[in-house]
Amino acid sequence: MSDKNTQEKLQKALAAVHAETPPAFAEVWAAAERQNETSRKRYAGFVAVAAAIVVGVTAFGLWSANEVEMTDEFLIADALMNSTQWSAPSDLLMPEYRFDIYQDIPLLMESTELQEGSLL
Amino acid sequence: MREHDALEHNPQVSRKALEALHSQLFGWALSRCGFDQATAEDLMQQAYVEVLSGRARFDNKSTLKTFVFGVVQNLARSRFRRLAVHMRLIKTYANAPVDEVTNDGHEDHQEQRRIWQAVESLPRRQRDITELVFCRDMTIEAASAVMGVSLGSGRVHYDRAKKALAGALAGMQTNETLT
Repeated sequence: MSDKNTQEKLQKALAAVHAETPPAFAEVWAAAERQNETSRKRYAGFVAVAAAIVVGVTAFGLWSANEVEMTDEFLIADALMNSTQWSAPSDLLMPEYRFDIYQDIPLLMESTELQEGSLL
Repeated sequence: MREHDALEHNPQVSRKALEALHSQLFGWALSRCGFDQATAEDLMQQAYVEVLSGRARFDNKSTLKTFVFGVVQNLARSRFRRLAVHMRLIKTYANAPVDEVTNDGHEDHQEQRRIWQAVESLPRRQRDITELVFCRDMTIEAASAVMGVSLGSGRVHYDRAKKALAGALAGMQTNETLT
């Protein structure tokens, strides 16, 4: 049996056993386009949500890093303010720490007597 | 050359070219899912979605027919396999009593059925290559590409299928002569 003969027989058998009535191309194509569009939008939505999450996490990361820096700056400023109250290291050598030895004005000896034209 | 209705994600494919292949492709899709019309339509739609989205990309390495037949074959293999087996089982049991009823008058139809049953009784790859070459007008090379086997392997399947079919059809003729 030739190939041509077999081909004819099989094609006839297939057509007789399984009727092939294809749906209209335009319908299937339109449905496919709709499905493609839906899945494309879904994918775009997913990408948008993922991008928003990434942006959010990055922004939060940057903000929190900035927050730490500002705190550091504040601490430095506070330290500078404190540095305006200065005490000399030699204060530690005083009899009583931070106690001014000259609490009273010392009394000076006064005299009205003159000696060789000058007050004693 | 890019045609005016070329697809956005598949510039080598045009809607018109797909439309020309639609009927043949539907026949192949039917065969992939146990000849169930609704499943075949769904399979076709999925195949077109794959082509439209560019997930299945045609690069002119084969003919467009080979490419889209391959897309349907791969989809059927990956997504519709279980369903196809299910449909085939239903068909097998649903068709059994019909055979007896049609025995009365439709001799020609019965003969056609027996011929096709001879094809269906072949091992899967032999059946596929027989259908692609004899019923879908493909070369052995293109059929092998659709099936995802090498050309050498395709030739072996084709040769075995042809021998088995020749034997089965010759047996049928002998039986007819005897009756």
